[in-house]
Amino acid sequence: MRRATIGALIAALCAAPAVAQNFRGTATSTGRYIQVRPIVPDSVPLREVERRPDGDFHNGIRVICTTGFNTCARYVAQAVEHAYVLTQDVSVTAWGLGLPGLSATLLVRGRADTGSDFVWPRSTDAFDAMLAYAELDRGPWRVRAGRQRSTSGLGFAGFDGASVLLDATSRLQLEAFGGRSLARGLTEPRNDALRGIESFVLDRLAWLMGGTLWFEAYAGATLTARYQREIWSDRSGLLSERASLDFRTPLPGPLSLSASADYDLAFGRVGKASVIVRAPLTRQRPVWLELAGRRYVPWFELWTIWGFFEPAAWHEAELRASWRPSPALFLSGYGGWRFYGDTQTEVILSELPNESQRAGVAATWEATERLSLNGDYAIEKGFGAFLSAGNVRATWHLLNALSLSLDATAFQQIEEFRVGDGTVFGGGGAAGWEFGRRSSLDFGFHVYRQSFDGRPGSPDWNQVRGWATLRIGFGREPASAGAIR
Amino acid sequence: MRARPLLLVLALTLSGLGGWALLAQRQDGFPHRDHERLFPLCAGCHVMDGARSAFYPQPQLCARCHDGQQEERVTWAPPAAQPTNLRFDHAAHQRATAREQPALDCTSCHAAPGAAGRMDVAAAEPASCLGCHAHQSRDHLADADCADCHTTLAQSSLTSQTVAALPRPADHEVAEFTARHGSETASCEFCHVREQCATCHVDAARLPAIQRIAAAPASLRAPPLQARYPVPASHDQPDFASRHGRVARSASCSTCHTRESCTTCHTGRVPEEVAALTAAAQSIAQGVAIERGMPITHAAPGFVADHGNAAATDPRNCTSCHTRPFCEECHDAPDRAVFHAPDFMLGHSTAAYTGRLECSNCHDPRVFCRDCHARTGQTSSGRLASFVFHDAEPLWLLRHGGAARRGLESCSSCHAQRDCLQCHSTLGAFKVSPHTRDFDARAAQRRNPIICKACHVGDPLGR
Repeated sequence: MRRATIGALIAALCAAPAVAQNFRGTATSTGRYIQVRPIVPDSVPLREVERRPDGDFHNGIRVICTTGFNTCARYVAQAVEHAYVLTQDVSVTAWGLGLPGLSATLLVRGRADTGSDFVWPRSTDAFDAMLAYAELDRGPWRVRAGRQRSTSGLGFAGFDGASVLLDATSRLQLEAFGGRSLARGLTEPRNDALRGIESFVLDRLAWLMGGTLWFEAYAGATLTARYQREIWSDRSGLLSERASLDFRTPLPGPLSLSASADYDLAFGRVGKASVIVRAPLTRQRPVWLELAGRRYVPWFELWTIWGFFEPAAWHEAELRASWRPSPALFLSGYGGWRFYGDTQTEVILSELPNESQRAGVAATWEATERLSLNGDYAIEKGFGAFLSAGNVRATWHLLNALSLSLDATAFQQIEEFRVGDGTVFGGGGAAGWEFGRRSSLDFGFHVYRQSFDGRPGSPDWNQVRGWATLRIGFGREPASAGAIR
Repeated sequence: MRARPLLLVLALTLSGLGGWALLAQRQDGFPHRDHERLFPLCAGCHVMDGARSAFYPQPQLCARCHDGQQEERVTWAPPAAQPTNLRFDHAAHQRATAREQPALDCTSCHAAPGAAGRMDVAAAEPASCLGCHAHQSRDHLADADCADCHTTLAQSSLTSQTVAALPRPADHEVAEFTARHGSETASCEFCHVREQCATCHVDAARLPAIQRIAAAPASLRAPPLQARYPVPASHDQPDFASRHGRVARSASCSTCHTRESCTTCHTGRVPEEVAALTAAAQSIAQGVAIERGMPITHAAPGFVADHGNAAATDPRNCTSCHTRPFCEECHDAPDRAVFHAPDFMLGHSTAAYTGRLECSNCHDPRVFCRDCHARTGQTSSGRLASFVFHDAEPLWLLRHGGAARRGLESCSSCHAQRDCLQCHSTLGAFKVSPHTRDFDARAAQRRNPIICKACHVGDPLGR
């Protein structure tokens, strides 16, 4: 794919007189430094263990003792490990390739792990072609060929193939697509990407095919229907078969409604769904209100067993609001109530809580033209973990193109299924410099002190994060001056 | 408030009458009374049914008597034509009034006040006209039938200066006039030429009402009006930006907006309605200038979390401002500190357990999550041992089912499938079925029979 991608781009660039050609792109280099603390199992003599009604402890740390054994087990923290990760993204769109409406788009990513003792996930995957397609946009037709990602209510679907889009009328669009399916979240053909990670994954390619219909019933009321299906290349079975509906419409007054739902035809169950009603109440000092109802159930492809374990859905009602009482002040908040469906499992000792809640507030104050302050607080009493987190940040715009920020964070996280009350205090700074029209340099660092109550400890749980991103925009703007990026 | 228009009308009328009187004084230096006996008929000198040049006698006619012998020589020339937009045709008027009794003659209008004889004449005064033609309108400049007395501006001989000095009707001062003036266009052409409409109307060339108004003749350079684009009330609605497509399909936009107004924001293939608008290059009017700005929908508190619906229902809206890599920078940037805050890793359990961020949209849990968890010692393999990671739950092994069904993505971020199949398989130790009572085994087998074999020996449905 790498050679084909680069070759196709070079061929496209050479296909027409250079004077007619143009390109536009971005090169983004990112370096990250991450400290992590691994934990490993350890044992302690049973005689040193304190037996308490709430469990067994050794020096205040939870241990697991098994009847008949004279040792108990626990986790202990290891020394800090360091990860140095470099990522290089290059995106280019070229047009003026000798045929009106013909363009080429490329987004490639290179990764390098520079001598880390902790190897960051996927950092050893040196090269990915995320997007590499040629597009011919001619009249009502748009044809794309190559590696592309289709975005819809079903999420992202990557494939190497072709898509044909027809602008049938200004209110009706149709798209059909098909090609070699790429593994979800990996942007690589399945036989390569999934090899070795599970013991019974077929070492085969898969095909993706589907279609989308966009329809505008009346101004502002649009509906999108999508169907897509993935099959193994030998047609021995399905990987997935799903459909989605997305709809939005203005309602009387300032109200508008959006609704989405997807359906897993393979398992015969509704997946994610949401209904959101929102209203901006004023224009000059906007007050927004949003009321949302959501359903979530994870979706799994048929090559895994997880979908057959039949995940339980949650449903949530959420109210969001934001208010700008003055040009310099912006306030927002939300609150949500979540209900879990029946897991159809045996209740032993006690049931899991069936409800969870979350809420948060945030404020941004432009204290002066050069200084802004942000603060937010969120609490989530969720399934699996409780989180209470607050952040504050001050940002100085020293110059129009140069900014400095300092921030501090504190949060407490309690795991529901694991002993330990983790508390984190952290702080750091960042700087940003914008130069040229589309270029910038950002870097920052953060130090976190993490402590646990009842968990395996270490004298020093400090962890440092550092990052730097250099972004260079090159080439020229297309006719549509002012595109955000 | 009533006094102002009345005063204005009065002032305008007086100024008009004054102008008429001035015109009367200036137009004719001929001593009619002295020639009363010489010319028994007005028509002897004035030819009414013809061009203006024929209306006045030629100076040579004077020289027949004023030849320096019979009478002293004189210098006389017909008065120069004055700029006017008055419509009066002597012959037509004479024909139209021929049957009236008493019959009208020249002195009916031209007799000087207190005239002493037939030739004691002067220019007609407005009162002479109004004596018969009673003005029907309350406001001379607004609601009269102008054509009775006036030519259109294009037909008039008014100059740029006189056009600029034309009085402004009172109704033009009303705040809503700009919005409403299109409803009554019958009288516009008496003060305006087509080019003036095009000062504001970007679609002037397409509007029949404007095209009916005559263009300015080459001799007249009509003073340009000041383009004014009052903001309609609809534009002040909070969500106008997101709803304007509905009204954009009506013709109302094309008055103020050129095609470029739309393409400033809407890039790519534009709707028919936009393509139908006048291009800026084809318009004399500058039209309303539009600046690309963030749509108000983006200010909604949940926009970032819920923008997927907007992206799915109308991707063209997104691509108006955003190029494709913009999406990828967040949605496929697992290696970059863009989407997640720097401290996200330390506290990501909550988001992962609840599926709030749907991690698997961007990360493969088996490759990305499990890899990291394995390196940090947070995974286990093989059958669950007595030593368990989930040490806060007594009898976790017996109780994990409910938690698993709620957080299967989380399970798969630490546990491989083969680990679960140690028990949840017909080949496993306990043969615990992972299916609920609602499980449709036949449908599942029909969809993908291969995966059944991960747990079952042979055909689990016995077929």
